[in-house]
Amino acid sequence: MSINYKQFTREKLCDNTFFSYYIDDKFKFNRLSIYLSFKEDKENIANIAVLTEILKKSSAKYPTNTLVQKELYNLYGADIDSYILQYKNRQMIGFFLNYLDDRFAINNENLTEDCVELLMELIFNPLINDGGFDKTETEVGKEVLKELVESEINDKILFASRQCKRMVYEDVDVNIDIYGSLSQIADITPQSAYECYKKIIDTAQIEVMFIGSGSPDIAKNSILNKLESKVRHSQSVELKEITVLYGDVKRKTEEQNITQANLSMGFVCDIEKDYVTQKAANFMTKIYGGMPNSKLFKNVREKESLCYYCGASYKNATNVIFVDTAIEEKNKEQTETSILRELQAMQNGEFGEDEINCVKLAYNSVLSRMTDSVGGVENWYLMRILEDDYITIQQEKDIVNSITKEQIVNVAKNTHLQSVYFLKGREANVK
Amino acid sequence: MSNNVVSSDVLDLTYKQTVHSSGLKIITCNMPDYTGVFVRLSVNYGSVDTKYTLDNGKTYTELPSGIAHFLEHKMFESEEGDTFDKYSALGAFANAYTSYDYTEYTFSCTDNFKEALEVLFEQTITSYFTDNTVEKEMDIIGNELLMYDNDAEWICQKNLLKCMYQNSEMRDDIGGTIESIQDITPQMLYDCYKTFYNLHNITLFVTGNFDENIIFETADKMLTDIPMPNFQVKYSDEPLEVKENYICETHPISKPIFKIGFKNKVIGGIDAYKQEILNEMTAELLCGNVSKLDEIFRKKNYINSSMYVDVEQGKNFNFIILGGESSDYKSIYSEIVEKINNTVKKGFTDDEKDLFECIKKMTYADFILRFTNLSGVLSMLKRGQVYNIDNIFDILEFIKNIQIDDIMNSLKEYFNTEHTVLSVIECEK
Repeated sequence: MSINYKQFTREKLCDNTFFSYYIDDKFKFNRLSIYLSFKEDKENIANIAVLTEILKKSSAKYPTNTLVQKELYNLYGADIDSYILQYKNRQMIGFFLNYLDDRFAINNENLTEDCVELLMELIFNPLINDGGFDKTETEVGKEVLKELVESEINDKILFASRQCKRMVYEDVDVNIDIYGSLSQIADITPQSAYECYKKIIDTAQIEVMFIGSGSPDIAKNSILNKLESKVRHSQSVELKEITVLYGDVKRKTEEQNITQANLSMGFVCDIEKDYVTQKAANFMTKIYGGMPNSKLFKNVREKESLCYYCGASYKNATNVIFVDTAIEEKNKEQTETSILRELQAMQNGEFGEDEINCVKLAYNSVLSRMTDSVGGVENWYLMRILEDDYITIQQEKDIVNSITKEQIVNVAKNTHLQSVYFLKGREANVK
Repeated sequence: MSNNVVSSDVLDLTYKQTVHSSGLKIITCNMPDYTGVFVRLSVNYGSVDTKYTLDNGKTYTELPSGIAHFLEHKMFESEEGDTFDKYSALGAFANAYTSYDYTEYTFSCTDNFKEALEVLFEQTITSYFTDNTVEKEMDIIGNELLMYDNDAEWICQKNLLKCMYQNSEMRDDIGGTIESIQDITPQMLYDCYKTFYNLHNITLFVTGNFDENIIFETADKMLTDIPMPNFQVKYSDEPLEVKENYICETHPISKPIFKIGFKNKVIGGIDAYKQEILNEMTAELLCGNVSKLDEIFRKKNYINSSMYVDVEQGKNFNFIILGGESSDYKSIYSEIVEKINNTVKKGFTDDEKDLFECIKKMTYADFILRFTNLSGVLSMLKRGQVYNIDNIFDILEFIKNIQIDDIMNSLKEYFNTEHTVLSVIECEK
C-alpha cells in the first residue's frame, strides 16, 4: 500500500464502508477508530447508548472486562473509549483505541497488529449468551448510563444550560438526552441491546480511521477481511433540517441548595441555513460572547462585575445561540438586561473591523494548528463526515476570511430571545 | 549567558536552557514539524506564599489568602486597557492560572509570535493597580469563588486539605475567601509584584515552531536586570500527623464523591519526581483497573468506574489522593487500608508481580506520550525545571529500571495508613 504522508486520505472499501488515514512521523502514538453512523432511532436511544459501554468491555475472545483491561495493560497501557455523537437526525457511535507507536516498543512488539485485532474483536465479535449480550455487562452498562443521566445535576452551569435547551427544543424534533431517559435505560435487556447492535452493524455507514505515525495497511486489510464479503443492507442518512420557532419568551425558575445562581438564555437565529450564513452566525456569537474580548466579557463581567463567567455558544444544527452565566441571585434582572443590551448593540452594528479581524485570526490559527495533534485531525475530518460538509481546511479559511460586518449584523438582527431558565438557591443558602 | 542543551534520540527532541542577562530563565524546545507555538511564563509565587521577610527574618509581611490569584487577575489590566484585547488582535489565545506554588501566564499562536511575546513581556514588567480596579475585581473574584462553592469535587478536595493540614497554608483555598480578599489593597499588590515578579524569579518556556532569535532579541530589547529582592518565604511548621481523619458534607449531587488522602513529607529535586512516578505506579497496582481491589469493588457493586489517583507535591506539600464515586466509601476506605497493611506485612502476590511488569510498560508509554503535543512538552519542561533535573529524558531509563522492591518501599513510606484523611460529599436527601 503506498501511503500519502501528511494528507488525509479517504477511500471506499466496500458497501458503505470507508477507510481514512493521516500519517505524520511527529505523532508518537496511533489512534484507530471505528464509527457507525445511522438514522436517529428515538425509541431505541438507550439501547444504542448502552452499546458504547458493552462493546468496549468484553468480547467472545475476552469474556470479562478484566481480561480486556489486562490486554490493554499488556499493550503498553493502550486506552479504549467510546462516545455518541448526534447531528440533526444522524447519530453516530464511535470506539477508539489510542496506543504507543510500534517504534517505541521495548521488545519490538507488533503493537499495531495486536491493537487492530483487539478493536475488531471487541466491535465485531461480541460476547453473546441466550440471544443477547452478557447479562452482567448489560447491567453494568445500564448502571453507567443511569449515573451519567443522574450526574447532570453535578455541574450547575451545565445543568442550567441543558434545562434551557429542553425549553428551546420542546416543540421540535431534537433530542438532547443522548443516553435516553431513566425509564428507557431501565427497560434495556441483553436481548434488546443485541437486536439494536445487529441492526446497526447491518445498516450503518462504517467509517474506520487510522491517524498517527504507524502503518495503516494492517487496519485497512483487517476491516476489509471482516466486511468485504459480508452482506449488509446499509443505508445512507439524508440530513433533515430543523427549524426552531420563537414567539412569547418562555420562562422557568427552579431551586436547589446552591450558593450561586445560574442563568441560561436561548436565542433563535431566524436565518438561512447555508454554510456561509451559519459561519456569519458563528462570528456573531464570538464577538457577542465567545471570546475574552467579547461584549459579554467586557461589559457584563469586566465593567459591571456581575459574574466571573458569561459566555455564548452557537449550535449550527438548530441555529440557536445559548448564553450561560453564573451570578448572584440578586443580580438576575440586571444581568438579563445587560445581556439583551449587548445583543442590541450587535444589532446596531456597534462593533468594528478590529473585532471581526480578531475572530478571523483566531479561526485561522485554530485551522492552521488542526494537524498539530491526532485529535485535531480526527475531529476536523469526522465532523465533515457527520455534517456532510466536505470542505478542505483551505476552503474553510477562504470562507472565514470572506465574512463581512453586514452579514454579521444581519444575523444579529434576526436573533430573538426564546427561553430563559433560572436556577436559584433556596432561601436559607442565599448569601 | 549560561547554556545547557539536552537531547533525546529516542524521542527526537532537543531542548535548551539559558539564563538571560535580565535574570529570566529561558527554556525552549523547537519542534519544526508543528505549526503552532506554545508559551508559558511561570512565576515562582503561589497561594501558599503568604508570609515573607525581606530582612532575614527580623520582620515578616503577612498577606491575606488569595492574593496571588488576585494579582494574577490584575496583571491583565494596564492603563491602556485589557491585555486580552492585545492578544486577540494578534490571533493569539491567552490564559493564566494560579496554583499552590506558581502563577502562570500562557499564550499560543501560529502567527505574530514576536508581537505576542512582546505583549507577554510588557504584561510581566508593568504593574497597574488602583483602588477602583481592585474594588471591581473583588466582585468578579467573589463570583468565581461562589462558582467553586457549587462544585462538589472542588469542595471535597478543599475539605480534604483542611483536615490533612494542621497549620499549613495549604488549608486555604487558592482564591482565598470572599472575606479575605476584601483586605487586599493596591499597595499590597505592588509589594507582592515587586518582590515576586522579579525576572530572576521567573522562567519562560517555549515549544513549537518558532525562531529562537526572536525570543532573545525581544528579551534584549525589553527586559533589564533588576536586582532580586532578598526575600525568604516562611511556611508554617507542619507535622506529619493529620488534623482530622474524616469529614463529610452534603450537596445536591447524584452520587457521593470521596477522596482518600495520604499525607507525606516534603521532598525536593529529582528524587521528588522519581517518587511521584513510583507512587502513581503503586496506586495503580493497589487499586487500578486490573488490581484485585478493583475486581472486588466491582463484584460488590461499590463502584462502576475505576478510582483515580492524583499525586501532588510542591514547596510545602506532598500528598496522594485516591478518589471516586460510591455510596460505599467507608467500606472502600477500610478495604484499601487493610490491603495496604496486609501487603506491607506479607509482600506482593505472584499476580501482582506480573501486573507490575505491565504497569511498568504502561508508565514508560505514558512518559513518551507526554511529549506528543506542544502543551505536553511544555509541562514536561516545567517539571524538569521545578525538580531541578538536568536531563528530563533520563527519566525514561529510570522507569525501565524500576523494580518491584521500589514499589514496596513506596507503599510502606508513602501510603502510610496512619496519616490518612477520608473526605466525602454525600447526596442531599
